[in-house]
Amino acid sequence: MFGRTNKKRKTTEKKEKRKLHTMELITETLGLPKDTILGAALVRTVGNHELYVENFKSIIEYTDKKVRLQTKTCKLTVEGKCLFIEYYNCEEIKVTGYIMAIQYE
Amino acid sequence: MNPMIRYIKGYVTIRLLGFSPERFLNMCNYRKIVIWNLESRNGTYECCMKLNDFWTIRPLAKKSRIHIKVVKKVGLPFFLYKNRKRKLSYFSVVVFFICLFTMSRFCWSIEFEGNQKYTDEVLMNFVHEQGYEQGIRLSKIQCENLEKLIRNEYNDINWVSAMIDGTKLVVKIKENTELLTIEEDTTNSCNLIANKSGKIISMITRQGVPMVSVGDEIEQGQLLVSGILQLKDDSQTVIKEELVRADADIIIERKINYENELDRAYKKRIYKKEKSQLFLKIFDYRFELFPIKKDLQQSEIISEEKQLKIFENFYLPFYYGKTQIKMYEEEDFLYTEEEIINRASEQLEYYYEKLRKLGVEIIENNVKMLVNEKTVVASGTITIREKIGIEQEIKIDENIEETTQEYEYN
Repeated sequence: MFGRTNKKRKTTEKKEKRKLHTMELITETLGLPKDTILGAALVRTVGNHELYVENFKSIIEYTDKKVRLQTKTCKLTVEGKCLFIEYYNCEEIKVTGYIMAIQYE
Repeated sequence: MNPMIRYIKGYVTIRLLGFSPERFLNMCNYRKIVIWNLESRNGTYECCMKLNDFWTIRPLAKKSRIHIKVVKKVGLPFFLYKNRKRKLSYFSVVVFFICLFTMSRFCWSIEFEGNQKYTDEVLMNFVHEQGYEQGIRLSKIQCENLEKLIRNEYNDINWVSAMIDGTKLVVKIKENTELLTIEEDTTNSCNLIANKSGKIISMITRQGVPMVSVGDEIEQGQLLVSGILQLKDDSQTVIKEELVRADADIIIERKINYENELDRAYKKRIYKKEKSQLFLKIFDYRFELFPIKKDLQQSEIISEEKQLKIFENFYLPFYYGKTQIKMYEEEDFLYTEEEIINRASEQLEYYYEKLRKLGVEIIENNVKMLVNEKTVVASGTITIREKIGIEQEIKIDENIEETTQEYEYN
């Protein structure tokens, strides 16, 4: 039974990868912005004390040393000290503090 | 969101205590509840939220097993609730706005722009005479009518624009700075006569018959260039007389007398005390804040007045300022010989400058200064060269007309 579910999962992952690959191809050939078509995360930093993330979906984890965010395509981890979420809404989040690392998962 | 709107609508700072605040935050995000200033502090979370949104988060907190504690309440709704018993202060705020509204219906300041020849005081007096004074209702001001009145009164003003800006009446003016050159009527025939006496130095005749020549002494009123051209035949008899406009550049040399007497005694103000006081003015009533007693009878008073305004053009009928009082005594002094000669020479130089501006060339100066005990007298003659000649219309004699007609018939 578990074998069947694993197979199904693998096939759906393959399908998604194919879909993503075709979408990437289309956007590249037509020269369209990837952030609007694919929903790729747009990360903008101002020095090491301000971070803006667009195409943001939800907060997975938040402490004063670590912020984990779910974007539309991947997970984003911000590490640092005294991290502070100035505002967030359906599209964008602004994190301030002493940023030490940004990691994609 | 604008902090001002935030304050007006009111917001709360809440503390989230519990198992998974992230879930609560994501649920808020899903329901489009705006959260800002989210801070993690020793395992607890603090964030700000609008007052309207705060009433809707109870089911979300229950679902995510979060305990919510209000830390801070900020905004106008909380302020009003806190001061609900201070009715008089609310009443005074209402009265203030009513006063502000009523005062905004009147004109409290008149300003002129672009005037050079006519001073603000002159124009202000005229505008006041026409009934446009500080304190007039804005609805009663007819800008077009005011523009017409100013244009009719002052011919030098080419363009006037009056407009109401807040509680200020702004009158923009453009004056005629360049002199109008009226084209001379060239059709009229005329003679050129002397308007001053002297000796002719140079003479260039463009049109007409010259009646004098270089070196001649001429008298005032003497004919210089005749506008009657006589056409003669071989026997030197006049066949025809033609009338033209006499035109010539005639420069004469003449002497003018100069006499100027200056008194050596003068009065000088010796300032004894200087004091300043503040004043307030409401409408036309002026109040001195700390009145000063004048010890001396003679004094100079300099006042600086400023009008209160809320915004750039929202003037109010309230004025404030500073009055400076300089008390002095007049004492008699005498100019020294050097000083009085300097003063007399300055005045003589000023007289020369005036002559030069009129196009007069100064050739010789024989002005001498005599200093007495009480006065200095600058007297003498100045030799000048200047252009003369004024036009005089030719009176057509009947005889001339007859003779010309006879010749035409022949």
